[in-house]
Amino acid sequence: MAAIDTYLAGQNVKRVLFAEITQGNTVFYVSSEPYITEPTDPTGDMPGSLPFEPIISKDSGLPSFRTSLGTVFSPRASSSVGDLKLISTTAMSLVSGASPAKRNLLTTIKRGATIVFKIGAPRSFFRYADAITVFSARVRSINGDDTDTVTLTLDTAALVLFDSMTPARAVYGTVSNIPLALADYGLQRYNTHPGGPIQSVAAVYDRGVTLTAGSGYTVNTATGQITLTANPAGEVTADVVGFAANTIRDIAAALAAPYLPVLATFPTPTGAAGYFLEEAKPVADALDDLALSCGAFWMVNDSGQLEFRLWAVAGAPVASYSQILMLGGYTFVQADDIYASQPYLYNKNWTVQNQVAAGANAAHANYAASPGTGASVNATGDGSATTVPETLTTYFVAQADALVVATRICLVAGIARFIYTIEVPLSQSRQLGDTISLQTNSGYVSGLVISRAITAESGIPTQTLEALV
Amino acid sequence: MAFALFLLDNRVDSATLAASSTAAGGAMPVTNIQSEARSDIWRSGPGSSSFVDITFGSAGTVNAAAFVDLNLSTVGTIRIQAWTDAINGAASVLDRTDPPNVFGYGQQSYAYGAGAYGTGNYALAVPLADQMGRNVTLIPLAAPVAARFWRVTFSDGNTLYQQVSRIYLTTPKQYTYNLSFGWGAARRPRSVKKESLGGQNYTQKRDSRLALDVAFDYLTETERANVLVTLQSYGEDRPFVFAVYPGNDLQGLTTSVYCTYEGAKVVHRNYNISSFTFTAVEEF
Repeated sequence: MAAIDTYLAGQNVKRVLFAEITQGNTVFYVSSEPYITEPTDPTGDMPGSLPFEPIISKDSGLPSFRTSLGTVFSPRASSSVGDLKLISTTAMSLVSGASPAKRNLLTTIKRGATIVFKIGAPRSFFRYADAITVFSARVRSINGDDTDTVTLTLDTAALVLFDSMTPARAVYGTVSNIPLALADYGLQRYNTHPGGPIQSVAAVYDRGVTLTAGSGYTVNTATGQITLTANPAGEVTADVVGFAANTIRDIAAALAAPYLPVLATFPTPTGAAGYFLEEAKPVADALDDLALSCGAFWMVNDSGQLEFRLWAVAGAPVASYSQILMLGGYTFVQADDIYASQPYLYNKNWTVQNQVAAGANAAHANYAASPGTGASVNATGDGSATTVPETLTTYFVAQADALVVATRICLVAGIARFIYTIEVPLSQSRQLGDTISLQTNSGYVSGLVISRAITAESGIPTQTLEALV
Repeated sequence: MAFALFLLDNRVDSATLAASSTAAGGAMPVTNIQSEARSDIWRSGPGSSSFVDITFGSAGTVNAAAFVDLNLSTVGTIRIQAWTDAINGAASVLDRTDPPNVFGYGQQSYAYGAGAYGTGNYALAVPLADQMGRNVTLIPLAAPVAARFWRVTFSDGNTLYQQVSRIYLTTPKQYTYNLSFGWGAARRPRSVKKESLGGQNYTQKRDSRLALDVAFDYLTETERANVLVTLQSYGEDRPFVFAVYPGNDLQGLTTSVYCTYEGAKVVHRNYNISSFTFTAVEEF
């Protein structure tokens, strides 16, 4: 038997659109066609013999969805999503611990409710569990009229990361020379990570001069506080191993987990890293810092999880598209940004200090742990005119990890590349960062998916992919 | 030939229902049979046979039974029983068994998946795994039956459960003079297509609607008044069953439809002669 992706790519097939709308512990199941699971079809929390409410409006169908990347120095996927129109205010739903029943959408769904869209086949062909997940979104507003039509204006699932703020003065992993916040003047007590705990404190500096542990300061790792034994001469900074998130993935997870599920592993370097937030900022901005540091980009994947993926064009293709599947042929344009080399930093120094007065104290040699500066990685080039990009700041402790990142960026942006655009039936859900193969007039070429637009405007669910080749 | 008929006011819709079983989870209760939404289905629990008990508020005459989107295969049976004293009582007034009315030829390709369509011949000896294959089984009763207590038993060794969208037990509406020649049947396509560079059509398949264009050209004054009352009640949005050839056979199956009125119009042509034209458009 053929797989569902073969079925969905067929020329003459019935496709069923599903939407699971989740608000708290309630999940509504709606569809574009009548659809009932079999008694043998329990999936996750969903029981068997569950009828989907066929109330997705023909006028709406699958909302349009677009997600795309910029250059290697734009480390976030930007996304937009259209509206979902429903033609009834009640739908089959499941509340945790209760039997499925029809419930009122309007009194249940709130702003922020999550929606996962899937495309499948009639139950006679495939189970609901075989349906492909197309994308996830969140409800931004709910509108309607006296015809019982409900329009859900949607936002991307990533929006919550733009609307939510990080903690201020938070320390994750290994950081050098971070400025400390005075918590108690009388006790000369300073905060590192708010409320703690932290892992350890490697050094404390007074205006860049190293203090001695014990006689100069004490540390309470449980509360994340450092107490000095005497008034300092100037700004107090410290080398800290902060909150227990020691890799880029774990730091990103610590920042995003209150708002979104986070993929268990990222393909980013797993060497020791550290990140310091002197001020609160949108979580999305912090993720930008972390992703850029890895030569990666961040996105919320189709299942609604935060994920980092690499800028890399040498991966094995996960799908191949022949010209038979290209609904509108293909086009190509030359990509911008040809870099000659990539300078980079590691072991970031978080405090810029003025030179202290010269003195006999040998500890001055420890002044403000200097950042690691690696030699620029040179691009191979292909004869195209090039520019030198800005210096890449990484948050890795070791140079080796930063070197890997700089090298990868040069591989992507150091030679002239083309962006190919194809439109194909929506039979497999591609992700940004996937490597695909596509048939040109000169044979197959492989490239990195940097843009994905899903539409059903013509009635046929299709996806337009842009691949950096 | 039996005259065309309408199944309008359904006694089952105001009856008390009980089913021998209901699918686990309770998402498809037997009261779904009383819902005009065709997608609301009653599904039995596991097994090859199940029944629905129907108790009217008072005894009433029933001339016809109909079943919308029954999932039995061609070897299944529908047993209809009626009593005047109690369900399964001593005073039986009806006990008959009929086959379901299903399409006996394939509509789907078999190349995909693991569902019923994928592993066998559609509707020949396998059940409808879902309601994609729509059908109306219409069983005119030989004589009017007056009873308050009814049981309908569905049996089919090919099924793992039984399900039905609507059960009708009612007195059909028929007119003194049958519909005129020239009635038409058409399927209204709803699929959409997109053409590739190579000329291949990529189609998003959607079920087509059956539309029956009919005319009753010789209504009496009384019948015309009744039609107008019906139109006020049903408008163009309340579904009913209409059959050009009421019968439990392929001719009946292809001309019976769960539908709504479209463009219904009554014209008084002459004394005691009115025409009633409409299109019966299939409801999904």
